[in-house]
Amino acid sequence: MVYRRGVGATIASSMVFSIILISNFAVFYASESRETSYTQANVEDSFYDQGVAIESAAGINSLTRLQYFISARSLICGSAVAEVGEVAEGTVEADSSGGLNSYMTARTVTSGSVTDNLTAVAPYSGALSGALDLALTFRLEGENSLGVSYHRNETHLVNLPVRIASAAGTCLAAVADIREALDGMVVENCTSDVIAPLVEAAERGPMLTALTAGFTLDVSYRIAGTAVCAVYFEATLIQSAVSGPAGPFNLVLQQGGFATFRRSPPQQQA
Amino acid sequence: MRYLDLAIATMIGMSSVTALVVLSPSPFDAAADRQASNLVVRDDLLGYLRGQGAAWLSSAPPQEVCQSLDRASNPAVSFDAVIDNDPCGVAPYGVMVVNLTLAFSDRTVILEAWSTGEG
Repeated sequence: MVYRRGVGATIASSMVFSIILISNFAVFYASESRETSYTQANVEDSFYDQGVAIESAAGINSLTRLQYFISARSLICGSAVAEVGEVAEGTVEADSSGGLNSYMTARTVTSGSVTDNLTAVAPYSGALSGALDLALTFRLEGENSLGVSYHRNETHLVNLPVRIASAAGTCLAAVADIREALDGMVVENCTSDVIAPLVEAAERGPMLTALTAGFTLDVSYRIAGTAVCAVYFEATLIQSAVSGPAGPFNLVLQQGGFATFRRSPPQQQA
Repeated sequence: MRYLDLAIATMIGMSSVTALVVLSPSPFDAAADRQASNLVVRDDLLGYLRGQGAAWLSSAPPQEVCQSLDRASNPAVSFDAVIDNDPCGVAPYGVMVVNLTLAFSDRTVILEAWSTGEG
């Protein structure tokens, strides 16, 4: 009888322990899968955040490079847009940070004001009407030791607030207006005393137009020939203190032009 | 027979207790909590980047960046940075540091953050 009780107690305790063990297994596996899913979420989150950091840095780098290019020289009004576009489109960035490899290409875009979710590059985030807008296309790839792989392809818009197209247009129009005003004008002598007031009068209108558009226009000239009275003039249009990622800078555009005067016939003595 | 019975019961008991100890879910729970905490810290770090702006981080003097990170730190999360291998401060030993690397043309800024376990 005593033996049977012993066996019964052993079986009962085995069952109790088994139930405890099974319950523990259930909690163990639940905790393990919770930990695994949190780890995966953390890795994906880490890739996403590092992706934002890479895109932000690449965006600022692209704009800074363009800023340095523009601020280091005066551009020809007639080719400025194309020249800056070429520099922008030659921008390629490859990076490898935080376990994420990235590749970026840039191109200029013409659009109205469009917001973008890459807010870390504010105030250069999104496209700005009239500004130099870039579309940056990113390819991000990463994989970690847990086998979590990450791929992201996306395009972000950033802007450098130089109004290069408007500036180039204003500059070319100013040159055309000045040429039109001076060309064929009748002068007695081809000297500075005679030419200077004429150039000043011709530049007044374009200067006002440029000022209204937010630019400053300066016109210089030199007499290019006296046999045929001609002047070479050069219009310099400036957008001052543009706020760039590397500090304020100026956009300077220049365009030259020739104007030919007509000499008045010599007065005949009565 | 009684001794055999006792031995079997003891063996079952000991194996069960060992299994309970070995298969304890608490290390997983602690790790999951750490991962959850890291998610929050990482969000805070991204929030700092968005708030301060990459343009500013690319050109601000290192001291100003360090001061800004100091101001952004709170009882729950501490922020730090390494600018061109020069750290603002040092993370306490044993904390899990999350970081974001910003490779600018002129310098590399690694933003760091960790949970202080408070707040």
